[in-house]
Amino acid sequence: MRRTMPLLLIFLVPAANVIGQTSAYQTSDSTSSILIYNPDQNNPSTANVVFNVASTEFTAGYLHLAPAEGWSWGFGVFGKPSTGLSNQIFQTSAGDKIGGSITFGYHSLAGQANGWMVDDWLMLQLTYTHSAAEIITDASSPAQKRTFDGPKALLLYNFYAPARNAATILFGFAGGMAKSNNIDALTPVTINSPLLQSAVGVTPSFTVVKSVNGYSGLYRTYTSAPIYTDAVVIPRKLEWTTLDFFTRSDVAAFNRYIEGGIGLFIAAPNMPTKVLGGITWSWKNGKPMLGIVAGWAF
Amino acid sequence: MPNEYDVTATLTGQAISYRKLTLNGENVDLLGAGTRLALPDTFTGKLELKSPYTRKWTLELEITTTSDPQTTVFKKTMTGTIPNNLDYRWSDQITLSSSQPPAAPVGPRMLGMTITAIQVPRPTKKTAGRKNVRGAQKPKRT
Repeated sequence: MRRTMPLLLIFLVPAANVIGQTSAYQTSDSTSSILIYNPDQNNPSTANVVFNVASTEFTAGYLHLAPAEGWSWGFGVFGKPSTGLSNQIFQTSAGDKIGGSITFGYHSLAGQANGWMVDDWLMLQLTYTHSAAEIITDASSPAQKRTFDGPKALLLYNFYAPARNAATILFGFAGGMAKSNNIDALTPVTINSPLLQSAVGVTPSFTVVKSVNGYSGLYRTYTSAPIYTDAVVIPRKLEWTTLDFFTRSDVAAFNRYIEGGIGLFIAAPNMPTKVLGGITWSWKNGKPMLGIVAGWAF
Repeated sequence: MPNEYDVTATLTGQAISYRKLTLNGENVDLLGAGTRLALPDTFTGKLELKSPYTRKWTLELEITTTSDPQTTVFKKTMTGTIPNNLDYRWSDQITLSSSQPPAAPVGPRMLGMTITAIQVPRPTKKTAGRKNVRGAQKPKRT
């Protein structure tokens, strides 16, 4: 029962938006370089559901990390049911999407040889995203529904090490390739299309319009090369709080940027990596971004 | 000549990311599922634990003969704490004995030191008749 419950929850989450990340250390765009290991020794698998308030994105993930050296695997689903309110509050513009991911890799002690790493794991994560959005390019052409299918491959390496017996630092590094679109850079708009015009002589006259949320601007797809880094500091004296110093960047030519920030996360008592929620603050191209996440781990 | 034994090991403790117990170089399941191993009378046991936090742990280890599961040849409960360096390793010799006393908790001070103090080597065919062997009966004077 204990193991089946997480699986049931994953599939019952409505419009689940799976990024395949099983970590709640997420920024406002629901990305992370950390795949967290199981917080419960007697259960080598971990499932969680994370709701990213900033991007209105659900992620549900399941990760089995080998208890000792060995192959590990996981999967996830993600979904973003709607745009609108969160975009206005958090100044984001990501479109609706749904997708899934699979993760596999090896739990090793490769990093132990250097003397200061304690435990580490290397994972490959393959993600597929499907999204659709109404795009209006200019005044001379009608709105077009554009669908997007984006594969993504990320190589993630996580390890932890002590910091002067005062804290533990959990490091994450992820890099890879993805097919992306520039919908984040477009302007969120409401597109009104006339459906019905009142007949001549009807007073008062009226016009019926159909309103849909969409985006305005020149839509493009491109190949991106995302690189994410996280350094999560878990103080020994205050384990239920963690600080995440992170970067998110794209080194591909079309959308090259680097974003840095800090996150504060609150965890369950005696379970520092069982994150209940957190807030992140970052700067992307000089623009501040606020993110809020809430997580449930099983 | 190794004999077959059933090993039951249960490790409890929160947030332990890496846990490995080997007896005579063979991996042992730490979830209490039971592992069947061919073991000599004396062998090396190794335990390795890692956690990003200072965490307490308990290991219950019991070895029984496969022919008679009621015959316990080793039983021990160990407790300890993964220290601030986040890494705990223990390695020592284990000797099997059918006269193994019931398990008794080991205090934290003893952890990492030894679990062999309770063991008495079983007389083997080679040593049973020899003098100065612990456990062998002295011949009576006439």
